[in-house]
Amino acid sequence: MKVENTKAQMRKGILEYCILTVLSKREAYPSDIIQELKEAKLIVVEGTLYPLLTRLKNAGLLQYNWVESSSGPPRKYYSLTEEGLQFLNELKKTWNELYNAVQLISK
Amino acid sequence: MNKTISINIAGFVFNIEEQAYEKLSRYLDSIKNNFKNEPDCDEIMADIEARIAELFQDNLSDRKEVILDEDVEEVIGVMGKPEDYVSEETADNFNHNEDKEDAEYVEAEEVNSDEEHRSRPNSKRLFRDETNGHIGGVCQGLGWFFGIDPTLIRLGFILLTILGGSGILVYIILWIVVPQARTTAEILEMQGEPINLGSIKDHVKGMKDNVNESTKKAGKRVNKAGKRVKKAVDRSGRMVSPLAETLSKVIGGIFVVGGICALFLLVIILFGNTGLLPLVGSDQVENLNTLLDILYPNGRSLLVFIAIAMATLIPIISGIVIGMKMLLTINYRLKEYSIVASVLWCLAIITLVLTGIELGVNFQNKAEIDYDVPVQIDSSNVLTIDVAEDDIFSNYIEYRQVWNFSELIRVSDEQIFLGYPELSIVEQADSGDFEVTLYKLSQGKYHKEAIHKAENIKFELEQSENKLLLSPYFAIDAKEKLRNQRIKVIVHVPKGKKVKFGPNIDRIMVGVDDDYYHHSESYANTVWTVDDGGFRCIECKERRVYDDNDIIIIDN
Repeated sequence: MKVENTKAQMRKGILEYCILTVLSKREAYPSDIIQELKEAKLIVVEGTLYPLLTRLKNAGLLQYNWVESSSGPPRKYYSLTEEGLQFLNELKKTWNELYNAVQLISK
Repeated sequence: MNKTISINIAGFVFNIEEQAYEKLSRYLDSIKNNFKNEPDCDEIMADIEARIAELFQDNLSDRKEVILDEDVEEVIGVMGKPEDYVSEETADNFNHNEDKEDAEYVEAEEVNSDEEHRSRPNSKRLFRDETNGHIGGVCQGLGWFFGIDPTLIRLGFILLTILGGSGILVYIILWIVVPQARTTAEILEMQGEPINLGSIKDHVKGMKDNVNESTKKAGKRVNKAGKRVKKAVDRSGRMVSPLAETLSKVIGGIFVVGGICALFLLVIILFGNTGLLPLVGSDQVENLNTLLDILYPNGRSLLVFIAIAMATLIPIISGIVIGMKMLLTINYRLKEYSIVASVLWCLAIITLVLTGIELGVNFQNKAEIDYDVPVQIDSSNVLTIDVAEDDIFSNYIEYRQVWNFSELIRVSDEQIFLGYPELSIVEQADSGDFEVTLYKLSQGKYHKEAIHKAENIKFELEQSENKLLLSPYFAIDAKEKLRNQRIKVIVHVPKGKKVKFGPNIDRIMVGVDDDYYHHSESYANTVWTVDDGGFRCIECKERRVYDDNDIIIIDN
């Protein structure tokens, strides 16, 4: 078992949670989300975000609008659906509990 | 010279060098390869290509029309190497196979740590929760401890402060005494969450049904990355019950409105003309600055003024700020503000106390000088006492209805007028003659100073046959400070003789010995005599009563 692999999985797990959190604050297009995630050092490269967004969208958690861009192709602006919001709240609770659990265990 | 190829990415045409094209093409292929099992492969690839087109667009300009090798490198750097996709994406796929093994692994981990936990006392303790709190986290901590919504506790503290003022004190004591929850263990102890692993297992199981697979995995092993998002989660995880929220908004609204009114009044008192205040009345009243000037030692009044301003403005402004916060449920922190405000407020109070002590020292010694005032009374045996026309204050002022004594202070360039001389009528026990004594009283730092100040009081007392006319005010020099200078006129009335009060007598304070019975009534135009039972009103028809402003008739 490679440590890199495990690390990536950890990140990936909370990545969805973080993406939903970012989108719960405002509508955003992938580069915006990337920016926030990069600041939090949760993601390194942009490419990995696209499949995630697509998957979340297909799961009905996200929706998007096409917005014309001055520099390039039209952009998909993502936002949370009602279902996505519920999903996020669910994750929030779980995250709090898990966070506490992990903190306690690793102490 | 290099050959370029024209390509179409996301509907945009780019000229790209052949070498760069090869690279880009390989890159896209390998990414596509990663997603080939995904049902949305095409959509993902379209998104990625659109982003790449955008990045290329950014790099191109009038001077640069061709995509070069380094542009592709840059895009790959931004979008991530194929390996990155592998580690973050396909890892998920082969992990499906590991699920069983994974579950066992987690199980084992749980059992181990479960044992560790049994050795820990799992009790609830009181901590301050600065992360979630607004000032010192005291209320938040109490909320955890008692399992109540902290907003309700905050409201409790605010009520305590309004009702008795003890809220702030209790808060400060708790702030000092209760430790802050720093370590995670302390935070958990504070929150008193059941830390048995069964509950965690439940969550994990529950997640299997509700929550995405990947979250579960990360949840099991999450650690360091968690710290980064802790803050965001903490903040969003705070729940407020609707009742507390409504209550909080109502009280917040009251705070804001009340605070703004109080601020308005205070600003007038501090900086404006006090006479503007409806409460004080339309009569001219010296403003606070002048009053402080004539009371405090030279050079102190500005300091005292600033201290008073701070001591009063800070709580009011804080009230408004807290009210706004409650009303609008804005999540700004008040920690820095609270500390600065508290320190300034304490400084102001200390200043007031110290200057107050200093002022008190200036009142240490008392002096009293008495002067005999000769009176001539003819055979009618009636002494008429009245108060002269008031050319400084209003003629309509009645001493007993004055409750704001700054109304009876008037400062001019040369003199300070004080409109509260006192008149006292007592029985003359020793002789059969009227006797009038004028007392000048003052206080001062030293006895000599007090005597000096008493001597310097100017008071006019006109004496003519059968008549005593008192000035409605006395005066001190403008350079003098107020040191409780007073004027007292005591009239000794022998048995069988009479005193008649003039129509203007209520302008000053009148005390008739043994007259406690009629203290709520006017003295104007009344006649008193002394017999064996003490003073008696013999002409008290139509004596006014202050209580209800009715005219009553007293039959004697």
